[in-house]
Amino acid sequence: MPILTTENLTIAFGGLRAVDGVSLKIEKGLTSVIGPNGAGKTTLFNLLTGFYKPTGGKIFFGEKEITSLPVHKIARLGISRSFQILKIFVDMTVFENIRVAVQAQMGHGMEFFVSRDRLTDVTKRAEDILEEINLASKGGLKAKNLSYGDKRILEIGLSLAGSPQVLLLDEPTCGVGAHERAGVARFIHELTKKWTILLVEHDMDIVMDISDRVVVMQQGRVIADGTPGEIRNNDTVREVYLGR
Amino acid sequence: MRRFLKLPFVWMFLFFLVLPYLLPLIKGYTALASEILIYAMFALGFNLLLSYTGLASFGHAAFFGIGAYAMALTQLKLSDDLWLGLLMGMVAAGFFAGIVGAIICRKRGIYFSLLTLAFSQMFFFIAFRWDEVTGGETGLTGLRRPPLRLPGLPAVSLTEPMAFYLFALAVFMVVMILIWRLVHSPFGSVLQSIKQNEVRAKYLGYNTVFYKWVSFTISGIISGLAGAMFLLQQDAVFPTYLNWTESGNVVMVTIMGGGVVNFFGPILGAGIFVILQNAIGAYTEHWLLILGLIFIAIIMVIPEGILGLFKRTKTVQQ
Repeated sequence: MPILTTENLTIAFGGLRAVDGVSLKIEKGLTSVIGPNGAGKTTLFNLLTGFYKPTGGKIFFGEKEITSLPVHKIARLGISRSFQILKIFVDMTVFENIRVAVQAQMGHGMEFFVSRDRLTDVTKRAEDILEEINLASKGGLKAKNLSYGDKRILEIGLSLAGSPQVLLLDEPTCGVGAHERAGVARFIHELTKKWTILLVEHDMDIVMDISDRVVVMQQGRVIADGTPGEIRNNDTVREVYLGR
Repeated sequence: MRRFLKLPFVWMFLFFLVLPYLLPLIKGYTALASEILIYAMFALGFNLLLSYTGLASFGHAAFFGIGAYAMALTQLKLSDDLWLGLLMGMVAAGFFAGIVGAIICRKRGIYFSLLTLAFSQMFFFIAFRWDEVTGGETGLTGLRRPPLRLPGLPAVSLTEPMAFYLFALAVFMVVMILIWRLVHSPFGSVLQSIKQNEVRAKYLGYNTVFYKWVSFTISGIISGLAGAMFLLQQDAVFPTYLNWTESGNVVMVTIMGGGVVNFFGPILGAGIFVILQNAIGAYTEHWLLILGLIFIAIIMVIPEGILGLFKRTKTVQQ
């Protein structure tokens, strides 16, 4: 049983079909979605997470249809994502960022008169995640004071805090310098041991190194789907994407 | 004991206990001190929305005024029980804040702010025109300050300014501690996450519209309580309580004091506002003009408000 399934998923903005009849079955492991700019990769993520409502087609999470669910309900079901443009809480400390994310997963959000410092289960889980993402030593820093690479990792950490079943990573190395890029790639590779990941990434070396499966999109459609080796040798992909 | 003395509330309580004895030094009086407490309560409630949820309401005077009218109408039509009046002030303000919030909390930024302004002007217009209930332009006057009744204790008259001040201080302390608790609770963390990045908060699984609505309603309830207390202090209520100028004043008070960066900023802002209003108002009826200039000067020099200055000094020292 695939974890995430799309059936003929479509969204049109006026006359433009940004995602056009995409049918995918996402299984365990790391699936990368690649394609030139404007191929519809981020729009696909926005559809899968409820940010956009499709104009056609269906989305299933396991057996449950989630096509018309709002973002927060989809997140609570276990589909989490990181963003191409950082979305962290810059004026909170690194620890507070993770804690507020853990709170959501543990259902403590509507507690009005308890001190947040007394939620020991939340604190423990937040500390564990900080260890896991190697930011424990920076827990007391304001998020805005982190290096860009660390901000990227915190962005992913926020997604992990909800203990998702599927993690959607949208260009996690975007804007990261060459010296930090390898670290982020290693970190993503580590994540594949525990989570099912759907990755949008422009760095082909990273994609081909760590993916179990690669889906290629162009103009809103899936033009190829296979292992990294198969995609490398696919003539259509070479022509439209790799420029050969 | 040492730990107890470290609590800012203890020092604030002690300060407010002696405030009525300090105010005469600057030609103030006890009722002015009560007004500071009531205005501080209103500003703290407003600041829950502005600085902790990131929603700028330009119409919060509506809930302040509704609280005052509800207290007055309870006394005139139902009962002169103090607690019932205060409760009705909070319930009425919370009810209308709940309705308005349900309509506008999906909106963001300037659209949200303009809708709060529009709704508050609607409420102002109703208060101004509905003569049979609100007394229209002349409001409801001649109300009295009911005695304070507590179970097992004899009734205490609140007609003396000092007695009312001490009652206002007790209510203020309870409200302040509750808001403090609220902003440091898990709920408070969610509000702050919504303020900083609402999209991310949604993706964490929070129903951000619902959280904003709860914050808006709580803020309305506190404003309503402040309005009901203000009625007790003034013994009258007028439609001007709901006017946009009052909504502007609470924004000014909160920002001027440094509410954006410090929990206690609105209290300082309320103190400065009420004292300056009284001091300048003794010399000229154009006091708001001068107060406006002072506000502009403060914001130009210290955009984060007066308590922002201390934060800045601390940062420089570090």
